[in-house]
Amino acid sequence: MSTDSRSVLSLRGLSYRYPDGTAALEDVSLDLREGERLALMGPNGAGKSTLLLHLNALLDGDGNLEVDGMALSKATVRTIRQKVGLVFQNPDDQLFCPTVFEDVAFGPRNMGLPDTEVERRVHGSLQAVGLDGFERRNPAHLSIGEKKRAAIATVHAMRPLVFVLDEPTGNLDARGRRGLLDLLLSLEGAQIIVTHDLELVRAVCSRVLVMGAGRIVTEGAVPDILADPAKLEVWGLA
Amino acid sequence: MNLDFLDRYVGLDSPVHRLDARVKVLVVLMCLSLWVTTPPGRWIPLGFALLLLVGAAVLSRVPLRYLLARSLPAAGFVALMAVLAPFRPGGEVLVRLTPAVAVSEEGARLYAAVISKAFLSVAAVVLLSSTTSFATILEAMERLRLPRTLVMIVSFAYRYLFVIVEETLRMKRARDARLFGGRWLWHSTVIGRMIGTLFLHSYERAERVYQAMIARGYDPGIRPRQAQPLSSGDLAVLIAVPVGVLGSRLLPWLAGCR
Repeated sequence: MSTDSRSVLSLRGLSYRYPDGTAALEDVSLDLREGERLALMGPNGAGKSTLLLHLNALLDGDGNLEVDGMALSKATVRTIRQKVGLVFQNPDDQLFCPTVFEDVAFGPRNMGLPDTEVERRVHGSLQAVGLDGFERRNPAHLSIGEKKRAAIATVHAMRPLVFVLDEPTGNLDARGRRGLLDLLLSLEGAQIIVTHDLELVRAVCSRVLVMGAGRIVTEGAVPDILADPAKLEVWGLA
Repeated sequence: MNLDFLDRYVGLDSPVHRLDARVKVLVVLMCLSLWVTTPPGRWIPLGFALLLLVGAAVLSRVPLRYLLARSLPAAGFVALMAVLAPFRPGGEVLVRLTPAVAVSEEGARLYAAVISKAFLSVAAVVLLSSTTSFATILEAMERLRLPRTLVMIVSFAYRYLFVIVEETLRMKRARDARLFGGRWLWHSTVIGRMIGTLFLHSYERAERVYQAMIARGYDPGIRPRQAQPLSSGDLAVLIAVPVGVLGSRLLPWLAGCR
């Protein structure tokens, strides 16, 4: 990754408290460059998923978010949601339509695209995730691996600049996981991946950001961070 | 778990399957309202309805046995609900059970009418759902300009039915695996808590689903889809069937006019 490539997402000093007053995030900052794949790691309850919701302005803590040079505001929120594609941890939350086609078409339709373009994107995105011919299937009846792919397709069809994925290999068997790693490597666009899967981080990501108790504990290149087993244990990653 | 049997015959190809879903939904709705409002004792409209249904079923190649098997239970249920109807006073007494309780002619006629209307109505809806996928019915409802929120509620109910049934089964297994037993008071407490848990889970899921919708740019005000025009065949069915059904209702009056 060249260091002079363009910044696509930058978050500065994000703090967030749950409605009951508990601090969930404190002074979190991160930068993502074009095409970069960043792993976001840390023990359960570290605030990773809460952070992801902020990247799509679904929660509004204090701090500054800038996507593709555009600061988050009422006027830019829809564009930012299109540019930052959020793939939820549980595909049953993301696939809420009666057919796979409708689910993948949901985002592009909300973008106001004409029907022919929507159809073109649905087929293209299903092909990109390896689910050609699944258009008429009911998402409820897909396997967990197929659901994860379909969930990625629903975001892919919106042509985001950044994919934000919450535990994309969670609950997958060995083969499903390998297939998903290949899919992540084939996606165009930067990625922020929340995961506990060290193999995924080694295979897919170039940089790691480690969180603990709502703060960023450390960050660095994948080989440096994953080199020391003793530290991994301290950070709650192994 | 698989509830695919709901869609078993949707994949067939027939003139009924090819008919525009909007036409099918409208025709079924109009037929239902005409049948349900037929006064008891008027058998010609109901006989015509039966002919119409059998004809449509044969044309659609959905097996009649399947339609019967799916519609009769509903008629049986209605038969049970309306079991007091035959004892309504009115007309000649057909069977006297006790001095105070008797089956009247008018009551029997009402009972027969209620059951046959229930059967016909359910059979029509079963035929609709056997020749049109659920997704297409929803699309038709949206194109018929039904409120989008209503269509989405129906759509979510269909989508998450499977998820909730599966969750219930998992909870039931987890409960039974820990030797669930004992007295009914304990049973009802546990079942009450399970229902509460299911409700909370569904409520939380609803929040996550809504976030997933917002994340993909959902805006309740948008009506994104353009409707396609109906073909002349679609229009012909849309007009001919309700006119026929209405005609069967008005037959005595039409005959009286001559």
